[in-house]
Amino acid sequence: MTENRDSIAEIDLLAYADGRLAGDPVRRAAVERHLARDREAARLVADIEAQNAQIRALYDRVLDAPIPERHRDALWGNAERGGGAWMRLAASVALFALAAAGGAAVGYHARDGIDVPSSLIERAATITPAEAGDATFALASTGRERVAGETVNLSFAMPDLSAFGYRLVARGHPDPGAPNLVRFLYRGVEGKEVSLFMRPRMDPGEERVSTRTVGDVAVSYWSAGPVAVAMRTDDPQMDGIAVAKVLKHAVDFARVSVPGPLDEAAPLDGTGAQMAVEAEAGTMLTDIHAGPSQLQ
Amino acid sequence: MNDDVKWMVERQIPHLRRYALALTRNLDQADDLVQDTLERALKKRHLWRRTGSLRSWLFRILYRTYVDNRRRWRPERMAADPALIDAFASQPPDQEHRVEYTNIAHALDQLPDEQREIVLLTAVEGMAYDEIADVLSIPIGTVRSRLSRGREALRRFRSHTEGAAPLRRVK
Repeated sequence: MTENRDSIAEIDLLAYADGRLAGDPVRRAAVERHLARDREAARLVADIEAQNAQIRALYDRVLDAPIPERHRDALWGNAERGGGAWMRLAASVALFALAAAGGAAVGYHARDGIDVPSSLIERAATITPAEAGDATFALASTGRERVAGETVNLSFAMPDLSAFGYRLVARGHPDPGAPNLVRFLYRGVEGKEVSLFMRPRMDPGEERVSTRTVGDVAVSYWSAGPVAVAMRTDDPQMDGIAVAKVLKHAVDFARVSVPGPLDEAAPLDGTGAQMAVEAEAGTMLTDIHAGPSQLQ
Repeated sequence: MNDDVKWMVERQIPHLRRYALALTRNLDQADDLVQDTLERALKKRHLWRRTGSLRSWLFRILYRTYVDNRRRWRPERMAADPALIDAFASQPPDQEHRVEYTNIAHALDQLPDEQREIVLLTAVEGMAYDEIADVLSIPIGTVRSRLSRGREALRRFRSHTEGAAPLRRVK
């Protein structure tokens, strides 16, 4: 481990190259400043990124291959596949339980001027079941006035929380007056729930995970590129930082398109999220594709 | 294990197969390893109490199964076989990419097991260092030091095999 004059150690460079500083913008910025000055360090990072890309390319095809039948049989035996209980739950919108551990930070504290709207945080904390809407998620046609130039659509894969034991059971617009606000409701095997509220934003940067308490409900919030996020859960073990990483991965691979007539009527399929973003299309495209994670 | 948990386990099978293939370099052996992992997971399902991520739990079982049977799964030094690379590379490799894949596969073959296992979890699965420490049941400082040594060894090996040519990105 070699310390240098900027206190950037080799492990910082490795962590940067491996994408491990995504949740630490201060450290990431320090590394990037260091890389701009130190060509050997920049070469190391480029090498590691190239290593990662080549190793992934060597094995990634397996992800798209069909799962061997014997693996399914080992798991399911002769039982019905597909999680019938989840399917029965898919159209339901359950009561939100109050969040645990009021006000305890799950990650870092916010710096001043964090770019997650207070209205989003308060909405996440105060929404009631009656306002939760249905599970249909269609494009928000009323949110696409061409105010600042072209309007673009942002589409990304549904954040997958199955690694944490949670499965998506509902999604929708919780607020008819805010068509760009979307909500994903996940439920765990013990009945605990995680709700993610998202809305597009103009600042492409990222903010750390912070927590604010509204009433007696704790809401974690952060921003990931063009999306501001608020999370509410009754599971004290759910780590906002870990969820933020999952979401960042999804948003990193977002697709951007200029909406056409077909988009107006076409609902989303079951695997993606889509929201209208009012922006200068060229600027937003540049912002989304210029992030460091896109280098992978 | 109820159906909901099984559904989530099934979602992890492609990732388990990918890591198993990276460890064994042989798809049949990789599938045997995943099969054993799934059977162990079902037998030990009572041990998963939502105290950690399902992914970490499954990878921990896979890794321990691999270690317990390392002789059985021992790689046959075939990772650099062009046919294997053609079969598993995520994009059909042209000659230039095939050389790159061969080089990185050869380089991975040269690493000690304890370094290669960590490099693969980082590069292939994108795991955080603390999750790797959890999966392998070792301190995070050990993860970092092994990763550092493994990365440096890969750089040296690739630099040697590629001469003075600059490294290039696959994508």
